[in-house]
Amino acid sequence: MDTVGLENFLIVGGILFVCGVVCMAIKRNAIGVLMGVELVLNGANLNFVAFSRYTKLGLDGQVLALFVIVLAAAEAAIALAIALNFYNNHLTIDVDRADELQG
Amino acid sequence: MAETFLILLPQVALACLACVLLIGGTFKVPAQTWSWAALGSLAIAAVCMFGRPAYSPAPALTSPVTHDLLATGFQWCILVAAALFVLASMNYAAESDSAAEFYALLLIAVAGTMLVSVANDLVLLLLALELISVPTYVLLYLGRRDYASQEAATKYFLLSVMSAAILLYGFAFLYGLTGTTNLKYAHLVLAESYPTGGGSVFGILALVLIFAGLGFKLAAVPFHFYAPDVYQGTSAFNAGLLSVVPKAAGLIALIRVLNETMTGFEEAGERTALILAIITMTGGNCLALLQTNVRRMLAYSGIAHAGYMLIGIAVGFWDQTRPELSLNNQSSLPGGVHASLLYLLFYSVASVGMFSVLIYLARKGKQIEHREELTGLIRTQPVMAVAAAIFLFSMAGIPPLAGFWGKFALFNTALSVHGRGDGFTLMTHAGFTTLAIIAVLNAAVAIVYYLRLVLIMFLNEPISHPKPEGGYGAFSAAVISSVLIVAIGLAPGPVFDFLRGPAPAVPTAQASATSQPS
Repeated sequence: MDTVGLENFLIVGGILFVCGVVCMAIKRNAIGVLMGVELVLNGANLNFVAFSRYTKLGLDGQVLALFVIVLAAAEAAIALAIALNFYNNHLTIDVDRADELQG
Repeated sequence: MAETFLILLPQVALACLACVLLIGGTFKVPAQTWSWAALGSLAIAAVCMFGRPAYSPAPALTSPVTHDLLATGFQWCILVAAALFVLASMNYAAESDSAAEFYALLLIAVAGTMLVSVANDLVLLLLALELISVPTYVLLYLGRRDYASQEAATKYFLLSVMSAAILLYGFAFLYGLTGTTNLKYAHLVLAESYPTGGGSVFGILALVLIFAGLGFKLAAVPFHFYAPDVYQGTSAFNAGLLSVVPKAAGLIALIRVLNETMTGFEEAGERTALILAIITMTGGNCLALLQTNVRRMLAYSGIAHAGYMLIGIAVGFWDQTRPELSLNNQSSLPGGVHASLLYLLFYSVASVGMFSVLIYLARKGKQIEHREELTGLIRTQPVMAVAAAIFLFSMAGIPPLAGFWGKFALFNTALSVHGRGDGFTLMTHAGFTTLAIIAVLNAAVAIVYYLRLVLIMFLNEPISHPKPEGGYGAFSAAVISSVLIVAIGLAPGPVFDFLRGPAPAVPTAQASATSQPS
């Protein structure tokens, strides 16, 4: 336990954040983009829990992480509905095909 | 505990009534009933507003809610705006087969917006912001079932969850820096740890990430890409909702999390807000000049207005460091954050009104798209043409209208910022003076595209006779908004007085912070 400190968790969280942002930027698939968002959320969650563990003030961070997990589930439910509808219209979930509105 | 509940009562009432509407939606009743039910729910929430306790001079540090003048004013404005939205959407909702769900979602989003203004805890703030976003996704999706609408819903959803994730990452660093999720307590911790400014990497990261996450809600420039596409793709009602509700929530959240909490990081915040303000208003106005689609133009003009509001945020950071020099304490005009809230209020009324006009003029399945569709409106729909002209002139900031006072207050606060050299010489601050000059130039550019639309409506001969199908609800919403704009414009005193208030929120927070370490 002594060798694993706060910074180790933050580095993992940072890597998750960067992976998530890169994933959101380059994925063409709507579900892929959503997975990128989940990575960022988990990176933030990891930070919350790590900060909560290494500061002396209560369980705030852990509680927030629990809320975020529920929130992510709610968002995923809506994402599924939107992706299905997009598929019904476009016969694909490639977000690059959403190009009607430009100007 | 009981006090917290009383403060939250209006929001709780709205959420409960929304659930009633959702359940009631399974019964077969005329769609108009739900409009009146929604208006009734808002009235009940308004009654609950009177049940809240008086402001306490020294708020408890552990309370998850703030109860101050800022929040009260904001909540009243949101309730009025929501009532106008319900009026405007009467026919629109009746057309869809899901009027009850539509209004239930609207009420939940309104509850979320009100909750943002009272949130004093990162958990509550995050949930409140999501309480706005999640119903909005569904509303966008309910609107129309065609290609463009689906595309708008998909784009908004993906970018919005992305921004929420980035905001959360910023909150994580704020929590790590302070060790608490309570914003008032975090403010005290920061005031003790970073009394002379400077600040740590965590703080800067938190600041930048929170600006990025909330910048999306405001539609500030590097995060604005969704706005024009979504406004164009979705229905006029949804576009109106998006132009007001997320912007209001984003602005008040920025004030709560950054201006009122992150002491010690004022300089970084001031600089970020200044740069964002300049690129947002310039970008928004320049791109608005090129638009021929009415809703796209309004989207870009909304972006530009977000830029003006960020001026107030930047000045707010400056006010924080020098409360004794802040305009709030000195003159009858509001200082930084209050000026931007004033601007938000005036912009929102004009925006609700303008979109009501578009809703009124739309026909079933055929929205107003190109600006030529409004040609000669003064001949065919004189009342709507005059109302639209009032809203557009107010947004442009022409003197006798409300928008002028918003711009006046904002530019005035920007010019009131003095140089950093202490002592008796009151030199102006180079950054803020530049900002004010750019803002004035932008206001001049903006007049071009607003005036162009007004001229099309007033001077040209009508090409076709529009058959408005928006109903009397949208018509009265537009008329009420235009009356409000003119009335506030002619007598702005009461609004200014209210904002100055007996105990302005920002200086009290500052006073408690400075007294604590000593």
